[in-house]
Formats: sequence, C-alpha cells, structure tokens
Amino acid sequence: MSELMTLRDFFRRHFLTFLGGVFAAYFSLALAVALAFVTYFRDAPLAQVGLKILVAGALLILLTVHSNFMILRGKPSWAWVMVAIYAACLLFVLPMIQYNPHRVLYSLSLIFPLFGLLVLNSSGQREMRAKLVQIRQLRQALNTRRITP
Amino acid sequence: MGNSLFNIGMDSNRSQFMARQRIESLINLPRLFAAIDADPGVVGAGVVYIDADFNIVTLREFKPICSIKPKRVILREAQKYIAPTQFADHVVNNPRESRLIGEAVNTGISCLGAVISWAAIASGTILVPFSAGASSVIVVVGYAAAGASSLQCFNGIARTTLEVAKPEVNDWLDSEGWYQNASIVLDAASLAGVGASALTTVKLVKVAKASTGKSLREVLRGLNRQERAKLTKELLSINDPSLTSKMLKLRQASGELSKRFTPTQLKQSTSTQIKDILGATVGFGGSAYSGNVNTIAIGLYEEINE
Repeated sequence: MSELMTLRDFFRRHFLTFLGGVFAAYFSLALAVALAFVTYFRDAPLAQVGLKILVAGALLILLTVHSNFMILRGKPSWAWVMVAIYAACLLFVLPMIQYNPHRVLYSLSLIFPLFGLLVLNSSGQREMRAKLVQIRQLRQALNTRRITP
Repeated sequence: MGNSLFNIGMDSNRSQFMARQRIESLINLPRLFAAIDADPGVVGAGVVYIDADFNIVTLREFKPICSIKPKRVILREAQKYIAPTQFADHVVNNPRESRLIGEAVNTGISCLGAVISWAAIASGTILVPFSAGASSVIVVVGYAAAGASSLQCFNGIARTTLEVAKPEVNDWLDSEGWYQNASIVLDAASLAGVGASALTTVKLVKVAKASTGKSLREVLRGLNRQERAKLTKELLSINDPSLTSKMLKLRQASGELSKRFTPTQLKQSTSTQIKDILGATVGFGGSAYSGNVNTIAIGLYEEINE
C-alpha cells in the first residue's frame, strides 16, 4: 500500500497539474465560444445562433467534466476525449485569423489548448493516471470481496 | 442633488436613488404588483424593498383597499459582507469599463467553486478504497456540483471575453428568460453540492457570503423580533420623514405609534408567485454579479394595536 497514493500526496504532487488541464479546457472552450460570436457568426442574428453556440459549448464543458471525472476514477482512456477537445478547439480557432479578431484574445485561445495538451502529456499526469488505475483495481477488489461471501 | 425625486422627498440620498434605479431595472414591478393584488387579503398592500446596503425603497404606497390599517409586503435582500462581491455589486450601475471588472471578479468566484468541487471529487475517489464506500456519496454529489460550477466558470470566462470583444452579446443574454432560468438552476445545483459535500469551510464560504452572517435557512425563515422592531422604526420614519428618532421613541412609548408591526403570514400562493417573479432577479443578480445566491426574505407586515 506504500506505493499507492495518499490524499496528501495527490494534493501536493498532482492536483495542481490536474486542475491546470481542466482549466485549460474551460478556457479554451470559453474563448472559442466567445470568439465564435465575433468571427464566424459575426453577422448572424443573435436570436438564431446565440443559444445554439452556447449549448454546444455547455455540452462540451459537461463532456470535459465527465472525462476528467472518469480519469480520476481510474479510466485513463478518457484522456483521449480531452485530447480531442483540445484539438477541436485549436482547429476551430485557427482559421479565425482571417476575421482579424482581438489580438490578445486570439493568442490566448491558441495558447490554452496547447497548454492543455502539454499538461496532459506531462510525466506527472501519466504517473497520476497510472496510480489512479491501481486505486480503481483496489476498489473493485474490495467490492467483489464484499459481494461474494 | 439635481434629481427631481429629491424634491418630493422620495429619495433622501444618492444611494437610495441608485438602489431604486437598480431595483426597478431588475424586478418586473407591474407583474409583482399584479401578483399581490390578485390576493384579496393583501390587495393594495404597500411594497417596500430593503436592499443589501440597507437602502429602504418604497416601491408602492399602501392603499386602503384590503383593510384600513396599513399592510406592507417587505422584500429584504440579504447582506453580503464579502469584499469582492460588494465591489462587484457596487459597479452594477457603472459604465462598461467597470462591468468588465465585475465580470472578471464573478468569473474568479465561480471558478473557485469549480476548484473546490474537483478537490471534493478527488478526495472522495482516492479515499474510497480505504473507507470502503463511505465517501462515494460525496463523489456523486460532487460530480453534479462540478458540472454546475464548471458551467458557471465557463459562462464567466465567456462573458468576460465577450465584454471585451462584443458586449452586445452579454446584454442579449441578460435579457433572455432561458438564460436567467439556467443561472438559477446552476446556482442551486452548485450550492446543493457544496452543502452536501460536508466540507464546512466550503459551506461557510458559500452560505455566509450570501446571508447576514446567519444561515441561509434562517434568513429565509424571516425576520426576528429585534429586526421587526428596527424595521418598524424605519418604516415609521419613511411615513413621516420629519420625525426624529427621539420623537419617534417618545411617541412609541406613549402608544401613539406602534412599537412593532406584527408579522402576518402571506397566503402560500401569493408568496410563491412573488418568489417566481423575484426568481429571475435573484438568478440574474446572483450569477451575473456576485456568483452566489442572493437571498430575498419576503414578509407581510401589518400594524395592529397592542
């Protein structure tokens, strides 16, 4: 049990990078959504497109929350969903350059997905995901032992 | 003091004038009055709004239709002592530059909520094997709270960005009913998650922020004896602005003026209707400028001879 993570270990070593990944996704999505209003949908009436854009953003946020939840529960394959979200944000934002958006906002919306990918790929995060798998296996072992006797 | 209302003694100072402006822009007053007048027991009752900074605004004077003795519906907003929130509230009526700061402060608060719920989920998940299932409740509740607070955080970041890039979108959002309703639901979900996750510090941050140093429940239950006495005094001096506090005390002691209005129960349906109308306001104010639930206490007060 000594090689397993304690709560204190987790908060000291992994929590900050974990949050970094989560918030990179929040910022990428929010900036992409906000910039969509001034670029692709600049001339579209708000009453028609506004709700749709926001709902799409909100669903992607919920997907982000769910995949990070699954990662914490020890299912590391959900990290690929995060990769997809970061990549989608990046690809969505890149062509906006032709609309000449606000410089700072545009560069931030490029930096955040890249930062998210970097954090996701860092050794600390990989280590954390591996440990969380062990914790899940331990949890499942406990559950089956409780059910079988 | 150039405003016209000052001359007829309705708003005795600038802060009250601003409070009136704010309330009138937030609450659908005709609907509120219609809801009150729909109840035969309180038709024509006066409506008084007391905001978080103790500005007392008489939205409507009492008309002696339901009874001869004055009846008043009191709507009291809970105080928020937290500094960033006060600050954010302070900039509500100011032009766009300060609205940007308001949005940014609000984003910070909602994103802090998201951080807290992730911490709750993480500790629940890691603790599960050792506490053998006891903390899985925390994880489930934390999951909902994380969803809600993440959406609030997303909303905050997007609004801050839009405030820079295209402020019209924010104005449009504030005018939409579905947006206001969604804000209420999110506030409620994140607050419920926080309450149930058994982290007392979190509770303190969220609830004490929204209320008068009392718990949310206590505020909702209404005003106590001392508060009623204070309120009566304030209401009497609204009625008669020339009355000094000493004169007021003397006349109260002689029984000429009542010491305390007695609370009478609003009929449940009217109360629900009023809450519905205020609901939009509460959600809007809560999510747009303070990031927590603004509490409004509703009470009906009438004067009786003791």
